[in-house]
Amino acid sequence: MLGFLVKAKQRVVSANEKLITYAIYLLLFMMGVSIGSNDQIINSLSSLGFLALIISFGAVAGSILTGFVVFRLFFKKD
Amino acid sequence: MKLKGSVIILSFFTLGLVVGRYTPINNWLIGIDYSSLSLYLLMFLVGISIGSDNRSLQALKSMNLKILLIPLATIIGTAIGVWFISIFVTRYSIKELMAVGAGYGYYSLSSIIIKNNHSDALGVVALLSNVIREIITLLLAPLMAIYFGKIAPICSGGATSMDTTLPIITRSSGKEYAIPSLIHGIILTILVPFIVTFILSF
Repeated sequence: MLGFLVKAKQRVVSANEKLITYAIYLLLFMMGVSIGSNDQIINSLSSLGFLALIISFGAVAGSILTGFVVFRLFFKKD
Repeated sequence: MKLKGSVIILSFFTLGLVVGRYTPINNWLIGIDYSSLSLYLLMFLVGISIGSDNRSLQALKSMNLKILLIPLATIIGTAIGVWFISIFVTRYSIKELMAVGAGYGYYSLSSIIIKNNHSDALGVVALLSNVIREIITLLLAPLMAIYFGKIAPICSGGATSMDTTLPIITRSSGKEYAIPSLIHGIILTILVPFIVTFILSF
């Protein structure tokens, strides 16, 4: 009986994972549609891309540095 | 979501881009608020997924308080880094850049939330920026572990440290960092929608 419940739960969970995947596919497709039809964004795609790149660099660099501090202070064993 | 999943997701976005560019489909859809509705649905499904994931519960049980310092480091480090970048950016405010950074690599959800709560353009920036964060981590995790300690690749991976970047992190930092990496990714994945929405609400 319990096994049946566990199995049923597993089925719901895996169906849910699939639903999430499809929902994300659909939403990103729709996002593409609305951006593709927006001339202003298409024309500035390269500058938006550059902005995205430097934000990523900043975010990663900052995270690495704080990660380094936490490692030295709390995790390093010697 | 494995790497193959990322490629498929981006293909859907690209396909949409082409369809939107060369067909009038967007004109039919204007006026229908499908994206807020589907976002609510998505958030609900993601909630179920996290709640039913046994790993989250086990992670909580085996929780060593020290491990919580890692996601904290990621959140603070990302904020500091993005703040520094914002000095050189005039087009967007620090708030907008912070919201992009707070995707922590979880590009599908963060870009959809930012598109809905802010604008299409910033949504694109969020999508690209968080994909790039994942790619940088995949490429540089081994070097980060050597020069900046074994926590650095985890922080760099952000929310992706529970799936796409977990293998490379485990290889770079060692097996004993697999569980911290997993817990870190789960915590950030849960926090992304809250932090992004919170930042945009100002």
